[in-house]
Amino acid sequence: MELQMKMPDLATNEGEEILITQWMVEVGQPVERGQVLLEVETDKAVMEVECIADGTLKSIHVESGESVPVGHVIATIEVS
Amino acid sequence: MAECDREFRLSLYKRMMLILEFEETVKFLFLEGTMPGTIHQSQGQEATAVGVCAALQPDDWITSTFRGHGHALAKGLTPRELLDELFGAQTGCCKGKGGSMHVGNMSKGMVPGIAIVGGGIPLAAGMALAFQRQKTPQVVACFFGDGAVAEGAFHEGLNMAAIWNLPVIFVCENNLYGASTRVDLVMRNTKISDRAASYGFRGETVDGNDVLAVHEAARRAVEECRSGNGPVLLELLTYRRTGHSRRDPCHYQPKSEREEWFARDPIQRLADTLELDDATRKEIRQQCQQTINEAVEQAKHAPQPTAADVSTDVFAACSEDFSPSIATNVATTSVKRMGIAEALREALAEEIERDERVFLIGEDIGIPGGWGGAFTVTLGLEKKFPDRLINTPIAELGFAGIAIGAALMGLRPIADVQYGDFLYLASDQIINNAAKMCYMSGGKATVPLVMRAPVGATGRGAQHAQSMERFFAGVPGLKVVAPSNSYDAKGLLRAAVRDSNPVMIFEHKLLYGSKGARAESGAVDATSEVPEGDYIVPLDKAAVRREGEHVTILGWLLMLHFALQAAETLAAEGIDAEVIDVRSLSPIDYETIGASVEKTGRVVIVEEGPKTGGVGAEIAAGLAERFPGVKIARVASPDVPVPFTPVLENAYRPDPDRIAAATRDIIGKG
Repeated sequence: MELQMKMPDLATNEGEEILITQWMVEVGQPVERGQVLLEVETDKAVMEVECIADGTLKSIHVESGESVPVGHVIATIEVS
Repeated sequence: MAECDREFRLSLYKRMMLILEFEETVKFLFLEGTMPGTIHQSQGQEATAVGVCAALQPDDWITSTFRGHGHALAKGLTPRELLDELFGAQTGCCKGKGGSMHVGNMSKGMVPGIAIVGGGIPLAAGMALAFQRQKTPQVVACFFGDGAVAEGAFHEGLNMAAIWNLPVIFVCENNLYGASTRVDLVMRNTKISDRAASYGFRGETVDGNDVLAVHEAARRAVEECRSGNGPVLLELLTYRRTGHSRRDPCHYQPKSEREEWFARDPIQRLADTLELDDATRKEIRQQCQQTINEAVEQAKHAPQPTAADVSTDVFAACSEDFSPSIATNVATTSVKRMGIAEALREALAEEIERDERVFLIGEDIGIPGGWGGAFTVTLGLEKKFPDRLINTPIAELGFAGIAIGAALMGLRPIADVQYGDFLYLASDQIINNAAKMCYMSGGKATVPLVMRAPVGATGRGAQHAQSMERFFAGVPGLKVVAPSNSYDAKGLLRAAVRDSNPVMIFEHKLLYGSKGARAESGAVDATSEVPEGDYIVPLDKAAVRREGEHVTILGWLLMLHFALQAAETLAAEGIDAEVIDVRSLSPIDYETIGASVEKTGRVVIVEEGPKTGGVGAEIAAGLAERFPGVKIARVASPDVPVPFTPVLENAYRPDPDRIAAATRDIIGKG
């Protein structure tokens, strides 16, 4: 089963886009729920975003340095 | 520890795992934007909820806070009813009206979560008071965080629980941080259990990440409470592994501290103690995940309330005591003329005799040799009903919370403050708990509370003289009345006691007719004929006191009497005023008032208290919307604090001359 992971709602101001600063896992690598998957920067702080399921990081849809709104699909997890 | 066999321990493990899986699932549902609102979660604190609740019986109760998911699951609420609530569904445990911070279920022993950090503490003490008075063996476990310890509610609640030996276990989950502020920044003595000794009862600090230790401590505390040796304070040392709320990355928790506590994770520790192999751990985890996942899928499709539901559950359905057989106007030959204080006293005595759930609570209300409250209303009742009057410490927030807690458990408390001004202290309990409990619970919790309060400028300066009704008339979930004569005082008080909702009764100090040392200078005669026998005055009806054709004058309490005096003066000038006693300030009876203003086309609203933001302002707006052609004028106090010296106090308080002048103005005869 594939799971679409969306940009979490971490910003303090409504409508702000969130910047992806760094992916911590490479495509194809196994991931666990709760594992830090990427780092983002909001208007409030730099924060870690945790993976939402156990499985494999199948693909990344937004590269480091790009900003996306909350709810935008950022990665696909192949759930184990 | 016979019950602490392997099976029991395994059940604790499964329950903790269910809480962890619930919280993790919910966290991601929030983060991906599937769920509305905000969340406060308890990952890492599973042992406190499970250890304590495992020591309770199903008919014992808990109170919780904004961080209540774990408590709810530990007390036996299902993941389904919680998830439905978090998704805002009609099938949620609070019908979508409470949400994450107010989860609870009155049929499973959990009142809706109290999201004001210390707010549940006096409430829990009041629930325990109800158990004690009803002589049931129940106890209440009151969960709160270290942050609540700095609030006055903690002090007032613990002190009253102590002086009355109440069966309540105060469970402080000390997770080292109140939101982001570390505990040692807000208290010099960070050993919270030490506080218990200062109130004269037992406190204990326990490793809150050891569920077996928590359970054992809770079991002892429950036993002490059931045998009349409560209360007990348990301080459970634990750690929140997740943010205070959903967007909190916990940057204030040092990495070393986090790692140290993660190594002491309560679920891991119990698994190690039980020597569970990896396969068993995984199997239990998967079972929990499956339960939660199924509940999530159902919750996503659960029926949402409709917009029309926004105004349901504000009030509980009225009590069976309002049977039509109780006449609202009794024609009887047996009447007695009396003052308001005496009429209230009679009503209190008769309601105490009629209903064993009724009790009185307040400061100085039943001290032999005392005054019967500040204005003699309860004078002598302590001799007749010694076990029905509870004298409290000077702690308005605390005893208001205690009364509300007792009301939640089915008693019918009548609380009073000595001066209305003190309601500011009690207002968190009245406004956040009493008024909202029914709504937040989706109509399941009821608070049949009566709160009496004297108001009015009477030579006491700025802090014992305010007209407080304005602050409560606009609070949804409260009924507010203000009697101006003895017949109404007795009938309204009786109706209030029998109503299933919180009712505030404002009484004017110059109308009581108190005698002796408590007599008031400047008092106005508000005596009236009071019939013998049972009658009530409805809580939502105004009364026409003088019929007239040219203009309507609205007043309540003292101002009603002054309006009637003004009307007599005006009558001599050929102005025929209709005078209405508004009496019910929430809800306002626009039917009676409206019929009058439609007839006269002019209305003068008289209020003691600053003009800006008063009840009169609300009535003026309400009339302007409903009857756009009607001319409206207000007579009120200037926007100043209540002054002391008579010349200023007289300038503050509207009088018959000012009312008459405003009335001449509005009909063009000024």
